[in-house]
Amino acid sequence: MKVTKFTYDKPDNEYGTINFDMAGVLENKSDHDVEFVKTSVIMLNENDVAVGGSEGEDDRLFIASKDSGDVELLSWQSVHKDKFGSGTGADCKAVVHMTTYRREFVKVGTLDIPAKEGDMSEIKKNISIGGVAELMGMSVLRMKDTDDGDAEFEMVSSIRNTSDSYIARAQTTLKLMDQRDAQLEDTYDYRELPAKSSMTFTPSFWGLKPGKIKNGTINVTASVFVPIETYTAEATPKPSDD
Amino acid sequence: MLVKTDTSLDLIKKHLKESYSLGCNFTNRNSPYKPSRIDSLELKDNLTVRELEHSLSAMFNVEVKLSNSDGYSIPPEYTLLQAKDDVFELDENHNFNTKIQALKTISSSSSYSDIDWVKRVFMQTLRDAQVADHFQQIEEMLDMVFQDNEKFMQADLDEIADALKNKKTALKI
Repeated sequence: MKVTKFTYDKPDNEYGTINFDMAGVLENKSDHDVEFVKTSVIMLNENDVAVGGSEGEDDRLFIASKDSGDVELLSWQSVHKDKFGSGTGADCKAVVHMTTYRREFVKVGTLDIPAKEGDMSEIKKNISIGGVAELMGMSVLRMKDTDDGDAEFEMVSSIRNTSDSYIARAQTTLKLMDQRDAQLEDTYDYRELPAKSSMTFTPSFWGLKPGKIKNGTINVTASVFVPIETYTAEATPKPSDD
Repeated sequence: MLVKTDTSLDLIKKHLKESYSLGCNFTNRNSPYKPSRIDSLELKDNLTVRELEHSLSAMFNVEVKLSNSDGYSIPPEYTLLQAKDDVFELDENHNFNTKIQALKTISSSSSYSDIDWVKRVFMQTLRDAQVADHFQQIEEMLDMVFQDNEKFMQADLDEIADALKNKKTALKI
């Protein structure tokens, strides 16, 4: 990873804050495609004292194995000018950390929508997600309709991290289909998942009219983001062109 | 919808889902609550995702993350109207375009000195080139890097130009 742009603006006249921008290029030397990055930046003044920083993540990038691509490291980060001896961003130094992640994705299966209150549908199998995590089936219990006449469900799925790696995001996604296989609704839930731990997800749907979901199904998918590589860099900024 | 400091987070979630097909994830902060200067926020079409996340975060002392229906985050500069029905899909030229953009970034950076890396990116880009337009973009980029960077030597240019010529010949372009 190389920081290719790190700039600072003039202090804002009203608030006295200095805006910083930072971007970089990542060379993905691994055998996996990068589909998620987490970044963190510490901003230091001339005494190497922390005066700002931020953490970010990007799930909308895709850098194929052995390819290179841009990454955004810092956007709209501001630090008050009085935290620097010179009163400008020239005294700043940034320490940047980045971790890249690959994505493991599985189609878990399809559940019938329970027809009436008290009925329950289940996916009765444990499904491996890329050999690093396991989805422990899924249950959907039909509850009493709400006072507004909407169908209500209690849905539960659990994913356990069977590996020694930190999973930055474990996610289950549900798509509710009607009897003609047209999508009516969707929902998802995600969390981070430390090594050898589990999370229980309780996704929900809103405003479902019982007539619309009759004989419908729920398609379930799951994914986890597993670390590939970590990077560290230091950079000093230059004045922006603006 | 007008959000006030006593509005339930569930109501906000429901409104964003029903009006904009957006998921909304709230994560509690560990730091003590500090009263915000923002006491209300109207969720309207031209509100940007950045403004919404920042304002709700300050009002409720939570981390806020908006996502599309597949759970992908929404670019912060999008308005709620633009974010509605957002889909993240990679087009067929994604890998090629990503590397061309990376080459532009590297070549416009005055701090880089890793010519080997630049050459590798050129070769990676060449690997994905399939049509005349791709080759034209690479040739233009090659000329630009050669002119703008004194560390990129004639031998470097020749090496990539040869590889480019060979691939064009193989593809009969």
